[in-house]
Parts: sequence; C-alpha cells; structure tokens
Amino acid sequence: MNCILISFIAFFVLISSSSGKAAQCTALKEDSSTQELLDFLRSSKELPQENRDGECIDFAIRHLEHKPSPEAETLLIDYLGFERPLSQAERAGFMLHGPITESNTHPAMGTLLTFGKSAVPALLSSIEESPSEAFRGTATHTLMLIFRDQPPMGIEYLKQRSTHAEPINAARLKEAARTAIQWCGDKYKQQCDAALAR
Amino acid sequence: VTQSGEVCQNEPPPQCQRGPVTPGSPGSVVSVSITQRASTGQKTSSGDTAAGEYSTITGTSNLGVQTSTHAGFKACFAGIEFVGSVTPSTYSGSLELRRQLLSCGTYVQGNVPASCGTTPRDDTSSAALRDDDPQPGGTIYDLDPPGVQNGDTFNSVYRYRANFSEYATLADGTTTVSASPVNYYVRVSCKFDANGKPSLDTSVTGDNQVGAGTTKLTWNLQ
Repeated sequence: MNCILISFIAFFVLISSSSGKAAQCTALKEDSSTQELLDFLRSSKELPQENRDGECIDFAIRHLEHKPSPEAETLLIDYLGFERPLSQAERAGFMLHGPITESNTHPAMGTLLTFGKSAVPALLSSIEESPSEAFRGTATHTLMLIFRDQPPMGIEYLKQRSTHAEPINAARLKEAARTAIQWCGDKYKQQCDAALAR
Repeated sequence: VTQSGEVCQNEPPPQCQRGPVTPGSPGSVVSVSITQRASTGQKTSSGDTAAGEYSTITGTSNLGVQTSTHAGFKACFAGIEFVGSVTPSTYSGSLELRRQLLSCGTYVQGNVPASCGTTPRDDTSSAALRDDDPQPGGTIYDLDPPGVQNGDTFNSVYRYRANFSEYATLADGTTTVSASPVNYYVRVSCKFDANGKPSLDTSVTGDNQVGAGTTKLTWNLQ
C-alpha cells in the first residue's frame, strides 16, 4: 500500500512539475549584439542573486563563444562560478543537455576556452587572487581546457607565475599546479608530473 | 550562403556562387561533411582535443551504449562522436558542430512520464566537449554522452528516448555550413541498484541503441 502511495506521489510531482514549459530567456535574442550580451551580464552582476535570470545569463555567456575581448574576459571570469539552472529532466538524472559535470554546468568555462590563450593572463590572475578554493579549482580547470592539447604547458604557466608572486598567491598557484594534474589524462600524465617536479 | 549550405570563405555570396571554385582562393567556399561514430568497439578520435575531457567525465574513451561507474558519473549512456570533415581542408577559421534536440520522451519507474521540456531546442555541447579548430587536418569534432546519470533504485527503470539533429556552422553559431544535417536517435533504459550501480535494462526490444533517423518516444517503443 505504501509503495502504491509513494508511486502515486512521485507520479503527481513529476507530472505537475512538467506541465509548465521549460524556462527560456526572453530578455535576449539570437541576434542580440555582442555589446548587448556584455551589457546584460554587467547589469546582472549588480542584481541580488535571487533576482538574476539564470537562463538569460547562460544564454549570454554561450552566445559570447568565439567573441574574445578584454571586457568579455573580465566579465566571464567574474561569472566562472555561475552554474546554469538545471532542467526538471536533468534534476531527475536525464542527460538531455550533456553530462551534469563542472564544464557543462559552468558555461563561462566553455566560452573562455573558445577565447584560447588570450584568456590565460586573466585566468592566472584570478587563480592567484581569489580566496575561494572552489573558484580557483574552476579557474584551473578552465586553464587546463585551454591547454588541453598540451597540458604540461598549463602546469608550466602556473609554476612560472608562482615564482613572481607574493607568498600567499604563490602558494595558491602551486596548489593549482598540483590540482591541474587530474586534467592531464593518462596520455600526458608523465609529462605533467615532470613539469610539476621541475 | 549557397543552396547546398556552403559559405563564401573570402568573398560575398554573389562572387561565391559563380563557378568554377578553387579551394583556398578568393571566392572559395567552406563546407562540412558530418559523420557519426557510436559503435561498440570504437574509441574517441586521436585528433579530437575534446577527447580528454570526455575521458575525464566518463572514465573511458569508448563510444557506444555502455555503463559507467566512474567517480561522479554512475551512468548508462551512449558515447557519440561527430566528425566534421572540412572542405577545403586548409580552412583555418573556427567552425562548430551544433545540435538540436528535436523531440524526446523520458520515463521513470519503467513507464511513468517525466518532463523532458519543450522541443525543439538547442542542445549544442559545451565547448569543453567540442573541437572547433579544423587545423591540423581539416577536421572538427563534437562529443556527447546522452543517457541517465546518478539515478536511484526507487525511480528505476529510467527510459530515455530522443531525436536529434547535428549540423555545422561558422563560429557565429548561426551560418550553416553543412550540406545536410545528421538526424539520429538515442534509446537508453537504465536501472540502478541500492549502491547506485547502473545496468542497462533490456526488457524492451530494440532498446539501448543509437541509430539513423527517428525513434518512437513511448516507453515501450510501440
């Protein structure tokens, strides 16, 4: 009897929550200009967390792919910790928009990746200066995505930067270099270990 | 944009549409031909720079319908890689393989419908799972592991049915450069034990497949 009741409740919750359409961004359009996307992200930063439109922030970040500029880099690093809202299906476990993993739920990571090495100095600064361990982890992962075809180079950059940094910042960069090993994969692990040891 | 979906590389469309065309010269066009890799026994391509992230997530470089008990990714999924062959192969601008979710059906407890949201909608992979740079070799890539992740015993069996369309664009994300999209479907049914360990459910004939064309979206595929 309990099983039937629980099943009924689960069914009701799923159906009632699925009756509404999936949330969509209405403030921005497919043809919104780069400046409109940047303006939106800048103004959203000023809003209290609960008033931000997560769907539109995700939309704006994704639509900045391959549109690098110093302003975009700065804004995207501010949004590195932003997690896109998950759909009802994703919360239930269905991978309908990629896996529920850091690089897929933090859209700024992917967009910074499309900027390539021009985003590296700003990422290194953010790793050096952020007091948040979680943020530094996301920034380090992003850096290693940019160096995904030559991961030891990413570790070299972190180590090199640490030699010119204040002690607390140098410690953060060295910690990032150790963390970064996990994104070297089997193919580059030895080279990454060597770069870390140098 | 020509009717075949090709786009002028260095010249506006009127010049582009005048033939003959010499690849790499003013008036040449760029186009992308897409193939899908999703068979058991296939692995991610060696030239795909997104393969490392796929492997980090799933714990494998294998493609095709499979299960994973990798940390944080206990899942039944269909590992799919799209390969875009770029013409001319010397084209050096960024290109994207993009994806539309055309329709879907998702179920828990075997046959209880669960919302999969409004369709059609954009389902383009994160850049972390794409390789948008055609150099070297004139090839771009896209990886996707659709399926069910980190489920529980109570909601098992999870059933995933979806129809997709994969196409290629310039880096603007809107100018199509693939002559024809690849339309395909994914069917996966998955159950999780008390420890969260996934296994494929094979009680529905024709389940746990990636195929060309479209699939029915019902739980039993009837």
